[in-house]
Amino acid sequence: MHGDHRPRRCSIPVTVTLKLFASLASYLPPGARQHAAVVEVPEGTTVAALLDRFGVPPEQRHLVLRDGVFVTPAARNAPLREGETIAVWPPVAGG
Amino acid sequence: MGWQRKILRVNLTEGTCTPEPLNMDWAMQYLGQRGLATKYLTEEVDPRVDPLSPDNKLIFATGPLTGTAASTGGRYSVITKGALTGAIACSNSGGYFGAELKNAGWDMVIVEGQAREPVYLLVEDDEARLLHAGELWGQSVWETHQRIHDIHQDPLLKIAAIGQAGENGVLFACIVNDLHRAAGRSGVGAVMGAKRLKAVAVRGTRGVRVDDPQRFLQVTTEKKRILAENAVTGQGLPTYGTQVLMNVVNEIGALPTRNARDVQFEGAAHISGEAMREPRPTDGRPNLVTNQACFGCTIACGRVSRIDKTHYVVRNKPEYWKASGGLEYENAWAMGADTGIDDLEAMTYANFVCNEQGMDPISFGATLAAAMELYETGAITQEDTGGIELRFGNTDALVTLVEQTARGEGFGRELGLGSKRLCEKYGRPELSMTVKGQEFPAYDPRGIQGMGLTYATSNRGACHLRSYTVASEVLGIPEKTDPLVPDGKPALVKAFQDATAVVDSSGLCLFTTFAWTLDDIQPQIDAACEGDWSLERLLEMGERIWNLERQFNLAAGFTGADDRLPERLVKEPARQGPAKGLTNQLGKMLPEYYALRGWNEQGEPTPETLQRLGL
Repeated sequence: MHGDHRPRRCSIPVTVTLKLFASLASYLPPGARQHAAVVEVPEGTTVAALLDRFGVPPEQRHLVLRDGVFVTPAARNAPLREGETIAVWPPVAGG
Repeated sequence: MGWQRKILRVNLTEGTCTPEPLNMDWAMQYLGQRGLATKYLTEEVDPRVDPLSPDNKLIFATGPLTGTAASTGGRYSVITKGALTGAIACSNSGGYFGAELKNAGWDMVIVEGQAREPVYLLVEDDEARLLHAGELWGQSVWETHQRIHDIHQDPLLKIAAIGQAGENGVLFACIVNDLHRAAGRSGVGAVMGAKRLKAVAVRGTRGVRVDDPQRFLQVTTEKKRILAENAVTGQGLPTYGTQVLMNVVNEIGALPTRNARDVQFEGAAHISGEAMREPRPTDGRPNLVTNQACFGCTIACGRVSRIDKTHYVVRNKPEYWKASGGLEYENAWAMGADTGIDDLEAMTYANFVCNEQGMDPISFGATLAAAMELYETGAITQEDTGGIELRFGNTDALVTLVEQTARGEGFGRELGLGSKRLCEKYGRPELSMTVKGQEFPAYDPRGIQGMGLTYATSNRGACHLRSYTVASEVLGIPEKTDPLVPDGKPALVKAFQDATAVVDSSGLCLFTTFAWTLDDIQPQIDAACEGDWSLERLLEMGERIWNLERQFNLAAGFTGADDRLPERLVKEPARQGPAKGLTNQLGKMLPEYYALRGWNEQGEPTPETLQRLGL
């Protein structure tokens, strides 16, 4: 016999848009436009892991939005979904 | 102390300037600035007066911390019956004028009557004189500033003035001090223009004394450290200014776009705080030159910008090539997203003109947006606009009409009425995005529910600065709440309203509250002022001020029925973003808010509430 030939579930990459604003813009990959980059990550990658990958300092992840909706620090361990947008700001305010 | 215990009463009809003692009983109840001047106005002015009549009064008021060493202690407010709204107006400004007035020995200036000929008021410490302003009338704020300095050969005079807009009766004219800081909203500049008072010029050298200097120095130093070490007030605001919000509010789907038909703007990134810092392809320089601080401020959020001199709008206007007051978030929203325009340089030009001629950019931009929708729906045509194709996104229309509005020319004369009167005139009142006659600012209440209640109940008409629940609902300050639900918002709004009334009565800037709470402000007031200024006393005072303003409005003819939002916000669901499908739930929030306030179902304070607050 030549090993296990049962079909395996392949890991399908997930494509998301990462937006980093204000002083976080410098963490975007080259080629990013208007503070946004389309990135591909392995299935199961969490919001926090995505930000780790691009070196966004944890203490600077103040306002994290998932398709415009605030993600609490606890919920940042949820896996990314295909096609969604993650937008992040350091502490900012105005008015 | 903290107070100078002296006010200047200027009767323009009689041509007199008379000092009188500050009513210290009232100061103990209302502290200063917004609260104390509101007390004076409600005691002295019939709420039913025509705002533009000689019977209205115009009060320039400082707070006990104005002119002191407290960080941001340079604020003053203008209190009057608003020309735009007919409601109580209280417009707050920074710069250096307020601190100078206080240093000249005055807590406030009460201007009454109406001059026969244009005049300006010159205050040099104890000396106050009314002088002929014939040659200044018709001049811009900037020309007036220069001319008064030349006349008196004193470059240290601090000046608050109206431009052509105030003279021409633009109902959202403002008062501009130090060239580009403004008491901006509700048409306080139109009241000043109706009184034929062109400017107030002040030089003050007397200093400001505080009750316990040693404790004051210690506590203000300690509180400055908090501002410096806080990420928002220490880094975010000085670097990006208020304009950092453009992308935030767009992403959360609460950026009113094209007269609030949409809640996200595809051009937001082009007009954002980040965009202001990016080098331009034309000259390699960014729009933003530097940040700038007002008197005593250790935050320094102000923007100083320079327009690209190759841009077609200013190519032949070298007078606009120099650095001047740049776009703040509200201005950039009003003249950008709300009009569908994404030309940062042209918007900066329009902002310069608003400063130069004394117009509120929020009301101007929002009125232009309403006019654009009137045009696109066929309610007005090029016949009405003088040939201007008034479509959303038309930069030329913005540039032409900002000039025309200030000068009272062409279709600009119509825009100068504000959007409520404009839309009523053309039979489409529902297209006016106003509350109590004042245009709402840069947060769509379908995506930030608390701001709907904020706008509806604001005593000066729609405004974000009466209860900035955006801090909590969007930015997580002091703690995050969900912007999409109305639950808990009545209590949040009331808490913000009362606390804001305290800050606005102190002489400090509201922006300190991104880092400070009232627990940080209270010891500064307590060290500066005689008496025991506890947190409880201050909070009760904030509530007292709110109710006093409400009483003025009720006596002026407003009722609970005026605590409402434009139909669009409560009937047309948001079309994009997280709030897609949602309207504002004002109907759910308002009764709970009235109950929390101790008001009856008609929105009137009950006798018990008035008694509890000493009203």
